[in-house]
Amino acid sequence: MPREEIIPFLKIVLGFKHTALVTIKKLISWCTDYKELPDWMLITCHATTGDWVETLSLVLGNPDLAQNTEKEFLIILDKINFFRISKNEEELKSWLLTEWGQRSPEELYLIFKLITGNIKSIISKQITANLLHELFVTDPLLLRHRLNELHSEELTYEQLMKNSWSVNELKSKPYPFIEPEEIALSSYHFGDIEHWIVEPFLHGTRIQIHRSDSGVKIRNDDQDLVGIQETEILREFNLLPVDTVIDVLYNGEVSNHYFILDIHRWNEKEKTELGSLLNRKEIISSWLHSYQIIHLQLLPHNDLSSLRKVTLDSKENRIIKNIHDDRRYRIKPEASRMYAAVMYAEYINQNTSIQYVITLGIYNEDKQLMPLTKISSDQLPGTDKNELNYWIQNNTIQKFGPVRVVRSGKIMCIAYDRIQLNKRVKSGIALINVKVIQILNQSAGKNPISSITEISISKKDQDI
Amino acid sequence: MSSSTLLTYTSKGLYCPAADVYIDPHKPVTKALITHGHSDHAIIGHRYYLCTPLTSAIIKFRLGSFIQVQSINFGESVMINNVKFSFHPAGHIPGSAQIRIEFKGEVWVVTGDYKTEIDRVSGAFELIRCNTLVTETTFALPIYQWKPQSMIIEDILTWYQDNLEAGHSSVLLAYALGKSQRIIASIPEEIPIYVHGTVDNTNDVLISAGLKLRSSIKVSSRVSKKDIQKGITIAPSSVLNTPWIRSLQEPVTATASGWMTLNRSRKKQAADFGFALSDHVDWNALIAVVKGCGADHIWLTHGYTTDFSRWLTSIGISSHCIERGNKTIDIDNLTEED
Repeated sequence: MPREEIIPFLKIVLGFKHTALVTIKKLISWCTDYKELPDWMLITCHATTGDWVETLSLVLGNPDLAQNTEKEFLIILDKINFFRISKNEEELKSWLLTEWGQRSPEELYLIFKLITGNIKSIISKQITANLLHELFVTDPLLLRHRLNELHSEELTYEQLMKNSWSVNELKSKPYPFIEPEEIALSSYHFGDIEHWIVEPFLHGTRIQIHRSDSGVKIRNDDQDLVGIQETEILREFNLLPVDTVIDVLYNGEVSNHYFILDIHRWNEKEKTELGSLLNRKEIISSWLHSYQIIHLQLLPHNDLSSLRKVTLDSKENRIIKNIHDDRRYRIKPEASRMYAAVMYAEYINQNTSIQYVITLGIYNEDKQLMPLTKISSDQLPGTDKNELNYWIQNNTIQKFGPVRVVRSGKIMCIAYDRIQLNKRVKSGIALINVKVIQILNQSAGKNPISSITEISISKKDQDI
Repeated sequence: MSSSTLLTYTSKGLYCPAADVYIDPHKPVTKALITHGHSDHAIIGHRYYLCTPLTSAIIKFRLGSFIQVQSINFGESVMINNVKFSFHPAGHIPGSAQIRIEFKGEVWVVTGDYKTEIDRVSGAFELIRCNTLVTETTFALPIYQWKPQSMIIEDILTWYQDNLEAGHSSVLLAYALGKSQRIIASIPEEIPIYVHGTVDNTNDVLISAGLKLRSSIKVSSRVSKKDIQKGITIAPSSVLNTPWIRSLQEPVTATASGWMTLNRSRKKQAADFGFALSDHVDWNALIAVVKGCGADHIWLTHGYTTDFSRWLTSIGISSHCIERGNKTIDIDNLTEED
């Protein structure tokens, strides 16, 4: 195939809308004149087929002719491209009148689809991108991106195959976590955020660190919450292996305000109370053994008497579960985040599955929840999906059809790529590539749900 | 006798008052003239049946050997109460006939189901001059224009070759009486044909009644799956999603029916492919028959009766629908009988 025909060909097979050379109404009138059929007869035929193009091709095509080869297809494409340029409807009509006695119904079907601009995709963009990648070794992500933009710009073959991102393309580079990658976990991994407790044993002193979604929590031996250090780092440290955390702690690669260490006497406590944490302690202790004692002098020390005043409330701002039990997803570092509350849940099939679509809302100017975006339960892991389904069933206020209105007690931390203004949604804002990061319970004192004002500010920041 | 009284349409079907006989009645009657052996035309419960020898063998096999059937060859005539009846080839399935009725110089023809294209098993349709024609309109819309049978068989053979190379078994779903035999007779001798038990039994009946048909092998536990994979298997559509079809080696299925002309029918059916092979008359042939028989008046039955009647009126031919309204087409449950 000549290079100049590749882009038009791709547009056809990918189902991009073409400009119609003739309206279907006009085509029908030509057909009725040619075949001397009354209008009502064609309408009856259309009621049977459900497709005007199919109806006309079956009525006008010559069934005695066999379907021709791919060469014929290219000839048809050439001819249609010619009419696209000339825009002469009379010539098109006279060509069609000569063609439709000499073409099989299958060929006419293709011709009519092309001239009425009504062709559906034959192959997906992803498969096309992969195929082109195999043939020409251009980045498949880049190819996929350019195929998406095929309708808006007049790409040449050379531009399509150029193997580097332009500045404009980089601005709208697709979100990397659309296709999550599994990250190999270290054997010394701390586990989920919920259970992440560092308990190194150093010269009779026990250090205990807990982490939560809102920061680092410090607990004493009685499991009382003794302090919370606010931090914006939520998930990243969860993925770090033991040795890296120790590096961070003792070598100060990250500012130590992220961590508060509660140091007190270790030997006074029964080791059995620590349960399964003992193994972890031994691992960390063995690693810490190689570090110099001198580093400990740099760590801040807390006054236990003041810290004990804060009581532990396990329900407060508790993380239900880390959303990824068995797979961990890379998060785009620059992804924006917000908190939104579950407003509605729409069940796809209430009888046989728990597939549902959740509508998330944020506050408007009057501090009322308004719908912002939707997420599918597909992106949640099985346990979270079941748990959320159970919560929805028990917190339904009202049902209408498959849609349930729920109490605003479930808050989700969501990440998104960018914001677009969209008049067709209530909030006037559409989020691009929404992903759930965490599911939270609404705490009594805290209400982290974002507001439309915050979103508008971030939209301005994004535009800048 | 006026034309309105030679035949009438009653709740039991087409009735000839002068001879006191019914044609393809759908409720039990005393005397029934049967055009062909499909179950919507030949039902159980009539006292006497009159049909062609092949149809006689078929209905005895299907309805029971106890029924009282009288055979009449093509071209022969029989007088019943001074009304002359004769049977003529309809080309629909083996043994299918049109019935010519003559009384006091007036001739009526009841076509039953028919097609004008010649195949190797159903006989050649005979165009009969008449005053009134009673014709079926199953596919009486201009969108139904059949491809020549040779082209469809070529498509089937290409499909079979593709399956053979990919290691799949080719299963062609066709009505056990008529369509199956038509396909069997059209496939070259070098390609082995395997058939479902229902088709095999029907073949045995037709062969013993005098139909010449090439050999086929019944699918059973004695036949190896590898051998079946190398041939074409013909079975009724009821075998879909049954253990019988799952026992074959990676089966690929295709339906042979006139309804497969439409995209929506091909998409909605349960089989993998569809071939538009019909045993009924298409739009062009129907118009040729209507114009060629010289009838002053056309009676319409089975299918798009009102639409075709309106079309005939628009071109100046008088017509009458003997079944009210258009048939509701249930695409999911179509058989060639429909």
